[in-house]
Amino acid sequence: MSVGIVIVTHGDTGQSLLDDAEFILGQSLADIRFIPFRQSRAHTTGNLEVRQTIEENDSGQGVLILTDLIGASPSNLVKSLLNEHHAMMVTGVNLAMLIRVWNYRDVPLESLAEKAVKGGMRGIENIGL
Amino acid sequence: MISQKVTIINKLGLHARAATRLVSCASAFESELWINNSEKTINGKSIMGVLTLAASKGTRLEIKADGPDQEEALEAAIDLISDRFGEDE
Repeated sequence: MSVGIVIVTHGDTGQSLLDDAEFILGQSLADIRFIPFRQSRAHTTGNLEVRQTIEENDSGQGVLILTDLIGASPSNLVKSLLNEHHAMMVTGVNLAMLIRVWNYRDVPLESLAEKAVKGGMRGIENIGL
Repeated sequence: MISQKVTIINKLGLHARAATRLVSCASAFESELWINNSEKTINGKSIMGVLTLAASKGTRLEIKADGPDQEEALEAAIDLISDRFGEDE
């Protein structure tokens, strides 16, 4: 059993990241669940879907939720649900973070969240001339 | 420890899928594999490490292998790069 992984982003950003990661890694990331956050939907609808998804993906090891923009609605929604579950949230999901999380998905939740943060940051560099 | 220098010769350079292939290749061996691009040395079994080399076509890399199967590991990595990661150009 490993940590459950869920992505919550605006629009279809999360699905695009999953598609690209599958292409790069050459394997299915079907174990990772994606929830698109739609501004048009009632907050309660999104709330219910995220809550159910967290519960469905917790096999006892907890759930890591990756969101896009800190302080934005998807992140705020997830944050409001964290204390109800054995779950942690890392904001700023990017392809580097996703690949790293997938490669380390068997480590404990707290360690995986750290891997996510460092992996995401490692993918950001100022490459000059 | 043994080492060998190699030049990235495929058109797209050490891109993401190529990096995945190189890491898969390196991970098949018990030996450690380290790759240096004159600026930094990274773990050849780490996709993010390999990607941060940002090695485009023409980049010269030094590959070091250290362990019980270091000759095979180094040869496999050099062959993969020299074979353009199996790409046409």
